[in-house]
Formats: sequence, structure tokens, C-alpha cells
Amino acid sequence: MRLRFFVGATVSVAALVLSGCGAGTGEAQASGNGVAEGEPIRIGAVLSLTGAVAAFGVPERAAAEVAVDYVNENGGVDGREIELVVADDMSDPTQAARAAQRLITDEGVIAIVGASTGSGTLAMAPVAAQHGVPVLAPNGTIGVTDPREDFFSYVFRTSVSDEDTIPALLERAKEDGAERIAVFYQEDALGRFSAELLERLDAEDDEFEIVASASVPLEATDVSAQAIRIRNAQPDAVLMPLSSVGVGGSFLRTAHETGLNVPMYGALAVAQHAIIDTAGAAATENLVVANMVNPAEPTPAQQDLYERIEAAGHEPTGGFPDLFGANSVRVIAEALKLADELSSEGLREALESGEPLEAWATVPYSYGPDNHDGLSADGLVWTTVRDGDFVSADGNL
Amino acid sequence: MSSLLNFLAIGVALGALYGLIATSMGLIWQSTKVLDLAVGGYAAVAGMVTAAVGFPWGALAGLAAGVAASLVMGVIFLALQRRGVTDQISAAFASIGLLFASTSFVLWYFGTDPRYVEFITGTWLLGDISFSRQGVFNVAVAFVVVGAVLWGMHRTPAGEVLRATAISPRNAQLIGVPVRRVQLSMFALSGLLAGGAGVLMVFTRGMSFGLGLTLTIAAFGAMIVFGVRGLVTALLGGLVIGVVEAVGAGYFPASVASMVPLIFIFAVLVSGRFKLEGARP
Repeated sequence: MRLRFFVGATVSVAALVLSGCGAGTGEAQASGNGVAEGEPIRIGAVLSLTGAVAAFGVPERAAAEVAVDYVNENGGVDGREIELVVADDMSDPTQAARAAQRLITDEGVIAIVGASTGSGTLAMAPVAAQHGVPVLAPNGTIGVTDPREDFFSYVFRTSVSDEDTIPALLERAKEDGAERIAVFYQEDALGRFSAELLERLDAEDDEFEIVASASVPLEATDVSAQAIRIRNAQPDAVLMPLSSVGVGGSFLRTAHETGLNVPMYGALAVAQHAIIDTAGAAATENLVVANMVNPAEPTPAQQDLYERIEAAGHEPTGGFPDLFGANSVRVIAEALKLADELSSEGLREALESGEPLEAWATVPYSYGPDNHDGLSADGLVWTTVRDGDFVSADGNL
Repeated sequence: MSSLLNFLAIGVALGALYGLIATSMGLIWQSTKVLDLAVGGYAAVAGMVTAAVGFPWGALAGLAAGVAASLVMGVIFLALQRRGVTDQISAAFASIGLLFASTSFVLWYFGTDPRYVEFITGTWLLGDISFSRQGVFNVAVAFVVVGAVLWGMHRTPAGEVLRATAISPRNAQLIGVPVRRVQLSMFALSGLLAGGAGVLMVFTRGMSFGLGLTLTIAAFGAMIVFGVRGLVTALLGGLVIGVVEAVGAGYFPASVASMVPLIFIFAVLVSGRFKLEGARP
């Protein structure tokens, strides 16, 4: 009896899964949500407010809320206010997909900001695309704007793609004289895509060699083995495609203690003060980070954003979570001002128009029908750590 | 060869912390037959409090926080007993709830940033093998603490009371032992052990709000790997899991290494050597 029930349940679940797959790939995509007359423009945000990557989601939410206030204080979108509806994906990609579904069907949002991780975005993007709702993704993860994916038309990146930052890190390391390069990456979509990209670059380029590659889960309790493994390979430099400052800081400190004192290159997420606190100032002297903001010298607009975040009762991280949380909302608002109609499809077409969209990055965002990466490596700023603080390493790339 | 020995040294240092938390879990299991899955949460709370208060008083504050967190579980356990809910499944679920509650508390109160406190820095070199001084300290502390707990339980009158209560709470009550108070003190001692591991963790790797679940899983694997025989086997189980995890991390991708505690748990559960009362046969 139990066996029959189990088999029946398994067949039912399989049928549901298969029918779901069919809906995602074969059926026409919906045209998204609109905005009723007199109603505010509703934007969803699927962020990791709890769980392993809440370190990104919490400041992203604070910055997104501040950006909503900024837009509304400055006339909204043609006089219409925007409203943010936030959902917590608990750092779980499955929950991100469920949250996106709820925001679209129950809350009627016309666009979604998120998720906090590339894995979350990759999970919810098919759901959003199926409903015709654009996703503004604050992730570097390469796959989120892969043109080969069915959801490509609906996902617009508000971070810099790792497809830009990873080669930029590599070039910087080579300019600094590195030939033997090690890779320390985290075990998720961001880390794996980046590690695979580096392997491809290694195969094409004779000027450098990847001598060691070690990965780590986001909630690792210890990274000493990985540090020893990399140290034993005697690299000239270490590239760190990771977003967890806990893991990154722990690795920097362990590497320093075990005598691995070579330049370490990271990007965006690594540029948070918490990594200096976790690693210790001495262990971060060799850190070189490509960032979207120079924390020591933010632009006036960025400084204004940080002051607004502080005035709202939050502490700015001074790194990418603030910037991309706020930028995602601002890009939606700026694109809607150009849209023919206040709807998901109107927003998508406006985003693809190629018009420059001002936010708080050092350069405006610009998308096209074949390019959903709004920023390139042109917007990166090189920073390093001196006396326990991030400072400019030099000028822009 | 030197790489392997380095990984072994790292694994023993990491495993000592797992073992300390497993000992905490084993202590509660042996004395109350409660599977306290919140132990990783006690460690996380203790570590974050230690970092927030700072050195040197932070360590004491962290231990106190670990004890306070475990006493919450003790009170929940006694409340369930009073309501007649005596099956282990309910208590285990309650402890899972407490684990997530403690994670949320740490996130809310201390924020999302990981914390680290510098205590003992540097390494000792023995040939090509490097020993983290903090790691050696952790191993020494784990063995001394577990030894002290064992000595206290087997060589002192208070220990006899604890063991009598563990063997039969009803008989202990008949001879005048304040069973509830004794059980609560076991939870406090458990919090001290897990909290101690959390304090050492913040000195070693640093602590972040999400580590509680990871530590609980590792500790559970450590506790059952040798079949839940006692505190020493829990500590040794921690060393085994730490070593296999470190060696795995040294030679394999992280996704494989992080599965090690789960593989142990799976193997032991499948073998039928560990079973909760109230679970279906």
C-alpha cells in the first residue's frame, strides 16, 4: 500500500514538474503587469534578508527604499509615485522563485529588483520571464544575462558582469607582473562561472598559467586547507571571485599567517569594510579590489546617497550592496520616464532603447536588445587597503 | 606528503571545535535524551557576543551568552515535560526552532557583518608542516575541558547526582534529587561547552550569523559517528569529521568536502545505530 502510494506520488510530482517545464519553454510568454489609473507604480524586490547572504540583501533593501524615496521626492515617474514591495528569499534560490511568483501574481508588480545572489536570480528569472516581468539583477554572475537563455529578454543586470570584471582582474594581475595565478572561489553560480571563465582564458592566453584552484562553500567554517593548497602551488597572485566577506576575510588572514603574501585580486563584493575587520589590516595590504565606488572618495551623488541611507537609520556598507540596490530602483524609474506606457512591457522596451539611464554609478547605464549588461568595466575603480581603510589604488581602468 | 600532514593538522584544529560542540550535544542527549539541535546557535551567539564586547572580557560574556541561550532550551524542555510532551521528536523540533530563532536574533542584533577577534596569532613550523598557534590552543582547550567535565561527572558528588538523574529521573526524584534543577544545570553546562567552541571559533575563523546551522550539522555528525557512546567519542568524532573535511578541502572541490558531515550522518542513520524515541520503526 505504502509502495503504491509512493509510486503514485512520484508519478504525480514528475507530471507536475514536466507540465511546468512545458509551460516555461513552449508556451507564449505573458505581457506582464500594468499600472491602474491613480495607483502607484509597484516594484517588487526579492532580496536575501535572512540566511547566508543577508549581508547583501539587508543593505540592498535599505538602499532600494532610499532610492524609492529619492525618486518620489523628485516628482516620481511623470507624477506617479513608485512603491516597493519586498520579499525575503531567505538566501534560497527556490524561495526566490516562489517570491517572484507571489510578487507578480498577488502584488501586481511591474518589475522586480533582485535577487541578492546570481543563484537566486537564475532561479526566479524563468518565472519572471514567463509572466513578462523585467528583472533588474544586481549580480555579477555571468549566466544571468546569457543570451542563450529563454529568460534573456527580461533580465537586465545592474552590476558589472563578471565577464568584464574577471578579465579586468586578470589583466591587472598580469600588469603587476603575475604569471602564475591561483584562483580561490566560492561554490555557487558566481564562483563557478568565474572559475570556468578563467580556465577558458588560461587556454587562450600563454602569458599566464593557473597553478592552483580551490573552492569553498559560502558557510565554510575553515579555509586553511584551501590556503595551504594555494600556497604550496607558489602563485604570483591570487584571484578571488567571491562575494562572501566572511570567507574572503578568513582566507586573507589564513593566507597571511601561512606565508602566502602575494597580491590578492577581488571585485565589488570584496570591497566592504567587513573584510578588513575579518582579515585584519595587515592581511589586507596586498588586496586589490575593482569597485564601482572609491569608498574614500565617493562622487557627490554617491555621497548624497550614503547620507540619505544614514538619515534613514541605516549604516551604508560603502560598497556594492548599497550602490546596486539603489541603482536597480533608479534605473527602473529612469527607464519608465522614457516608456510609452507604464507597464512591464513598456519598461522592457524602454530599457532596451539604448538611452543612457542615470543612477549612482560613475557612468550611466545603457542597455540594448542584444546587451543586457548596463555597465562595463569602464565604470570600475581600483582600490586597495592602507591603514585599515580602502583607498584608491590608481585611476579608472 | 607534507601537504597531507598540513591538512591533518588543520583538520584536528577544526575538529576540536566540532568535537566540543558535539560533546555539548552528547551531554544533553545522555542526560535528558533530547537531541538538542540548537547547539550551533549557542556557539554562534557566544561568538558574536565575544566579538561585540571585545577582548578580554568578551570571552566571559560570550560564555555567559552561550549558557543563557542553552537555558532557553532547558526551559523549553521542562515546559514540554510539564505539559506531558515527552517524546523526543517534539523536543528536537523545538530545538530546531530555537536554532533558527538564535540565527535571526544574531542577524537582528549584531547585523550581517562577520566578526573576528585576534587572540593568538602566528604559526609554529615543524619541517614543512605549519601549526596554527590558535589551532593548537583550541585542541588543548577542547581536551582539557572535556577531561574536566568527565572528571566532574565521575569523581564528584555533583557528578553522581547528574549521572543518577540521567539514568532514571524518576528514581532520582524519589531519593530527593531536584531533577528539574539538575536537568537545567545540564543545559547550562552544555551551553558552556558550545559557547566555548563559539568563543574559540571567533578567535580562529571568525563568526558570522549563519554559521549556527553549519556547526550543528557538523556536531551532529561528530556525535553519532562512533555511535553515541559518550563524551570522548563525541570529541573524537569531531576530530574525524574535521580531518576528513580538511583533507577533502585540500584535494577535492568544496562541494565534496562540505558533504562530509552529511555523509557520516547518512551512513550512521542508515545503519540504524541512532534512533529517536517516538520515531516510527
